[in-house]
Amino acid sequence: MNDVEAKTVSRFLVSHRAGSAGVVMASLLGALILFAHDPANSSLFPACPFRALTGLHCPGCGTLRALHQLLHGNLAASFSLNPLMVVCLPVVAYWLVSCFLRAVNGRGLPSVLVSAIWIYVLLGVIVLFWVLRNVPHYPFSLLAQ
Amino acid sequence: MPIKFACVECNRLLQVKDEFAGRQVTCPKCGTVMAVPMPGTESAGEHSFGPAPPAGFEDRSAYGFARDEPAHREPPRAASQQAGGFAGIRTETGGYTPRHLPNYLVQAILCTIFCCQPFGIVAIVYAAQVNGQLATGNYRAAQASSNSARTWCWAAFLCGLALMLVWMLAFVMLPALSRM
Repeated sequence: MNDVEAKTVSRFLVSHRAGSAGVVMASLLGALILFAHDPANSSLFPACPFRALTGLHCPGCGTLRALHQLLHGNLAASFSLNPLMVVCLPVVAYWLVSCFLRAVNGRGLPSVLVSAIWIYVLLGVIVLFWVLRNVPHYPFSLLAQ
Repeated sequence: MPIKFACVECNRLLQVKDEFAGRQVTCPKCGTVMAVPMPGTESAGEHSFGPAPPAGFEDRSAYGFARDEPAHREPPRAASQQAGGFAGIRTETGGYTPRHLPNYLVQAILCTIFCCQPFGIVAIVYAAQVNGQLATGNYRAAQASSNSARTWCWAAFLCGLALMLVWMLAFVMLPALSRM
């Protein structure tokens, strides 16, 4: 019948499964640190290179503070610090759950194949958010705190 | 020289001895049954082994499914029946291309937010190209775009890491050392 033996070979330095496990553990460690320390008050966290070089906000500015607020249940405060990140969080959470399942049983969640148009839309939103939050007038100043 | 090729369902890289070319093989991970492609026709991104295929194999898809191959008439539906449904996107030559090609979109977004904006944006563009090319069944281009997305994610991550280390060195460690 079928006596052909095939073995799986990794394309990368580490197996896909080990990489997923590493991502999950790094995320848990990061979440623990963020829960314990508020980036607004603590000097543990490195500065944003873009902000240090230009003085302007990058699209991720406020992410760490927002995650700290989220871990303590303050959704409104989290949203005011970086609304784009909060909106993208469900997508990142889906990916993290998929990584966890892949580390456990080798198969993650089914990958959702969205049309490329939506990814370009997301890119446009990121760039627009990046530009608008640096406008020092109301209401755009609400995007960066 | 072993034949390396990707499973048509789960896209894992498989390796068989080259004497098994053309034979039916079962993927050890997802159980899909497929034909081992001839050396030189398999496509696994940067992995290409064996001589150029003879003229008669030109109309094969990347995974060796040929509709007009008289000798090995294994029905392409074997893969989908094994997996219990639609196995992948049908190409023009009648083969199947795998759905599970990572586009690294989430990684690219995270790299854009945290590490290095220009490189991260390039990675997002390549991630979008992966989806677009998968939707049209252009698997070879999608694999290339997937590799590019992954490369630019790593570039963004390493660049951000390097900048962070330089920052910590210049503004945290050196002043601390000079005060000692």
